Parts: sequence; C-alpha cells; structure tokens
Amino acid sequence: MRNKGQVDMMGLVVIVVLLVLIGLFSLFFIAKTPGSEERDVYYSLKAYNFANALSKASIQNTNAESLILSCCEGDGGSCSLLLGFVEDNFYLLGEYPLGDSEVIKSAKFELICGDYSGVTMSRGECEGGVASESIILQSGDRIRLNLCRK
Amino acid sequence: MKRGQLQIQESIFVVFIFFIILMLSMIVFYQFETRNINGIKDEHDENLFYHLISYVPSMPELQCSRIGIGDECIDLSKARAFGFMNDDYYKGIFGYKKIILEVSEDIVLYNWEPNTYSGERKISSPISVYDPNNNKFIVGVLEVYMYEE
Repeated sequence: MRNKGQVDMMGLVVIVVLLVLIGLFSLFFIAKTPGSEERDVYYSLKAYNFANALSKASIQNTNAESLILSCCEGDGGSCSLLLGFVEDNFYLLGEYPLGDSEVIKSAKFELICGDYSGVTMSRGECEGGVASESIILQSGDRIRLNLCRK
Repeated sequence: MKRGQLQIQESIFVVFIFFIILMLSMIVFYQFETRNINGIKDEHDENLFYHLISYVPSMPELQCSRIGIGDECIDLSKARAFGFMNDDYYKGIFGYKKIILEVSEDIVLYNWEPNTYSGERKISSPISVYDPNNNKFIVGVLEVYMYEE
C-alpha cells in the first residue's frame, strides 16, 4: 500500500509526462510544410514570364499586341490566330513532356478587352491555380495567365 | 544509516536526476534548433533557386534593351556571347547549377557541375527572346538545373 506522498508524486510525474507529450505534438504540428510557398512564388513567376512572352511574341508577320488590338475590335481571324498561337505554346509550361489533355488543363490564358465591353476570350482549362499579374497593353487590353499546380 | 545521511543521499539523487533531465532537454533543444536553422537555410536556397527564372532574364549581360532602356526579354545575341564566357564570378552567384536557354538551338548559358552529385532538380519557364537579326520576339524556354550533392 502506497502512502499519500507517493501517490501525489506519481500524479505529478504523469502530469509532467503529459505536458511534455503535448509540447512535442504542438511542435510537430507547428512545423509548416516546407517548400509550398516557394513553389507558389515559382508558379507565379513562371505564369508572368509566359504572359509577358506571349504579349511580345512575333506571330507570322505581325505581333501579339496588334493581334490583341484587332481581336478586341472584333476581328475574328486575329482572335483565332492569337488563341491558336497561345495554345500551341502551352506545352512550353511543362517541366517534362505532357500529354495533350494535360497541357490544356495546365494553364488558362485570358484576354480582357479594355473597352469595358466585358469581352473576355480564353484558352485552356485551368480554373484556379496561381495567376500571373495582369499585363496591361498600350491599348488598355489586359492579358493574364493561370497556371495549375501539378 | 542515519536519517540525516538518508536525506543527503536523497538530495544528491534529486540533483543528479535534475541535471540528467536538464542535459537531455538541452540536447533536444539543440537538435531542434539545428534542424530549424537547416530548414531556414534550405528554404532560402529553395527561394534563390526558384527566383533564378526571374533573375537570369533581368541580368544586364542577357537582358534585351532599346536605346539603353531594358526590356523584359533575353537578347539572343547576348545569350550566345554569354554562353562562351567561363567566368568564375558567376560561380559565386549561381553555384552548382546548369542554365540553358532553349530556342531553335540549345544555348548553355552556365554550367558548373560538382565532381559527384546524387541527382538534379529542374525548373523551367517560357521566356521572351529577342532575335536582333530578324527583329523578332520568340518564345523560348529557360531551364535551370540544380545539382544535389
């Protein structure tokens, strides 16, 4: 039969052990998943680089900026030429070769015409993901790219 | 033994246990801090690695410009010339990396390979490339490899 002092001591030891365990668990959960924020920054830079490259690209005998302007003025031929070019270059976003269905799901290009008509054209199926900054062209039209995490 | 001797022994035992617990705590704390610091260093290295796709195109050695005003693109003729440079200065900036610009040809901008490495990690980004010969902008790909020791 243990005396009261021993029982008290045991209780104290149990409390200390529990506190230590709770502390260790807290430390384990506080430690955040490494690398996730950095990866998002990388996707954001990549999306911006791609949108920037598209906005400057020479397409056939003209450039993307002129095509965007014509497209926003209602020239369907310019729109299809521009969006076709964008789609053809989506595969450049993959670090390793992707299948056609994966390529189209990996990004979404959006053209928002600046005349406040609400005309928005897009190509690609990535909803959500990491968005690039909007690139505002001299005409006031904007382009933006969404990049989905893999 | 006398009661006093027993109490002294008990006190010595308690102090002994206390110091063992203190030392164990210090070891655990030291290891935890070391792991934390290593984690911060890895995070920093990771950040530097990812930012290379933004840093490399903005280097004056590669950046395209018109009448002295820099633009967000790589000048193809500068990239070709940069590929021939083998300056130790860049080893201090990039470390063990390989940087390639893919256009119609593959231009190795930089490569410093360690004697032994366990693997490599790759990041890539489409990038605007200006070809001054044709006065055209093309979409190239900038690839950065990091050798893991």
